[in-house]
Amino acid sequence: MIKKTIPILLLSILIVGFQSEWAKADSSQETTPLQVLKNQLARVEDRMKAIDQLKTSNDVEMISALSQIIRDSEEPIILRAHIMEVLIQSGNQWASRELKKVLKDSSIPSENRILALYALWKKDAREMKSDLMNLAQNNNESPDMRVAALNYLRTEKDNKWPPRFWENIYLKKENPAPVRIQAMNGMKELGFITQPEIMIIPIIEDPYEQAELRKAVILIADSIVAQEVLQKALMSVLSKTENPLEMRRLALDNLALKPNETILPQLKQILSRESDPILVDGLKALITSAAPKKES
Amino acid sequence: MNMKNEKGMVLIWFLLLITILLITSGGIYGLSFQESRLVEINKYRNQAFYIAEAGLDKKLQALRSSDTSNIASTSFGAGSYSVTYDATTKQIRSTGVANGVSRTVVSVVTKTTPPGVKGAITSAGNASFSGNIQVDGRDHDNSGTLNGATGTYGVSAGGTITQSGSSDIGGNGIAPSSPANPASIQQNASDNAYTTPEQLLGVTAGSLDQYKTSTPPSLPMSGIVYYTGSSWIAPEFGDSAHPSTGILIVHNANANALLKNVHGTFIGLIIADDLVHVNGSAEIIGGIIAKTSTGTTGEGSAAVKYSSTVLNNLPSSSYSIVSWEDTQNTAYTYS
Repeated sequence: MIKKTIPILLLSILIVGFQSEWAKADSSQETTPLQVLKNQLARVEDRMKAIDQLKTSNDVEMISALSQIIRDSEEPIILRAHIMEVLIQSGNQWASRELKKVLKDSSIPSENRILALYALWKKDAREMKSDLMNLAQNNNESPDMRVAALNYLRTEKDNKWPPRFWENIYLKKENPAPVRIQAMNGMKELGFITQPEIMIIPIIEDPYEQAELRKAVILIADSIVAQEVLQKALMSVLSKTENPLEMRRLALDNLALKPNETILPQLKQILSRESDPILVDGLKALITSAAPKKES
Repeated sequence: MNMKNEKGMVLIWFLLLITILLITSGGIYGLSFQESRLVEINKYRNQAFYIAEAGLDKKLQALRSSDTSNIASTSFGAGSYSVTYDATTKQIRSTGVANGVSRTVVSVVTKTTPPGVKGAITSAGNASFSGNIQVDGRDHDNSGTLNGATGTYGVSAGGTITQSGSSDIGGNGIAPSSPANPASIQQNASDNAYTTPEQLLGVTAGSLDQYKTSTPPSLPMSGIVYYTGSSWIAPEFGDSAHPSTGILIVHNANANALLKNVHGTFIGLIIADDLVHVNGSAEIIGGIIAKTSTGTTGEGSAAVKYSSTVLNNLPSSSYSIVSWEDTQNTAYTYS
């Protein structure tokens, strides 16, 4: 009896085991949203759809997968941005904490941190205001991170940050040019450039200032500085040979936009000692257009 | 008697053995002769193959210089190649010949987006945006209408991007906005080096020299214009019914040529050392590459729209191989 039972029992175990393995293999063919999300070979669009299905989940495995993706610069930027935005907009508490961790971790590339900052700012601009202010002022942060923070702060027109905050960043020579330019843009938009003679003209005229900042200041000056004041500053840039050639050329181009006969004597004087052929041609053209037209 | 018979048998066996040896060695000789013939044929086939490949490379290079003509039989190494190009099917057929053995490789090529294009606006350094300009890296057709494809970055800069006013930037499937969604811009890009216009377009060095001019062209322009002057202020490219098209290069020896206050419609690619102000109702469909962009601003409704259709059909552009076939030609007849 026992001799017969043992083989039957073994056979039954084998059959059951095989069936369960078969069932497992069969079920694995149905890919879950989490599997799609983790599959780097899947289409980005499909992975983005998977996020939409998972956004309210608090599954530990999913949280771990998402944490990895939003930190991984090799993952498509659209996917990382979508994950951050969808999760935070869905009110997922984990997402908010995780994005703040990404934002505060300076070892993570600034691209990922800016994505996190943008998602958090979009969710609640007021709540992020002090973070934005700290980032913008922090000399240890990368210029793109600081510019992003200033870019979001400039939109807070109803809840403006004090002028002093913007001025300090704009006037501090140690700050990189893009940070100062973004601060200047913010000041202009928020109506904080009330004394252009102090905030604009000295920077245009200072040959030791960052050329990129000076060029940006010249470009915005037209709409906020009185014409005669700006013209005087541009003539100063054009006449001083210690200014970089590109700066003198930009000054000349801007003077040429509104030719004025009052500057003719000075232009002729500059032309008489100018050696650069580009400027010589430009000066001659400007002198011609600024000269009073003879009546025919 | 028995003794004599046995000796005769040995002789017969000996003769039989000699015969077998002769037959075997004859067979072996025949086989080795055939093998050496095959080795030699294969050697020439291989040579012909590599010569045909050289012809294919030569034609690819010629295409990158806008030369679509066939290549007549040209000596190369131990043989020669000849190449035909069918502009309709974009098929290159290169035949290499070595010691009478020929082999043909057939390739279909396609024009590709210039390698220097990374966004609707690509800048090697920092880039600054103000006014009302709209920069859209989503893909558009050649009339500036969105075609549904995600496209690329709105702005790709080797440095930092500053944005002010109502300047909107979008790309990678995201609509333009201010401030831009960071997924639609690329900052600190490591491969945005502003080298030469030829490298940015992916064409051979010197192939654009024929288009160089120190005089600004009359507008609207078409084809390729390579302006080498120091600055070009306020070009009016034409209206949407009569736009400028093709490739406009504003580049001088010092790489500081200025393109400023751009107006009108341009369909194609603009390459400029310094781009300042895309103004008024300017509409650029295709893309812009600049060494630096001090202030790309639109005071009206200026727009820069990325278009892969436009960029893949520029008058001079890079080609890449999409299919490749090695054709074993007719059997070699040994003389």
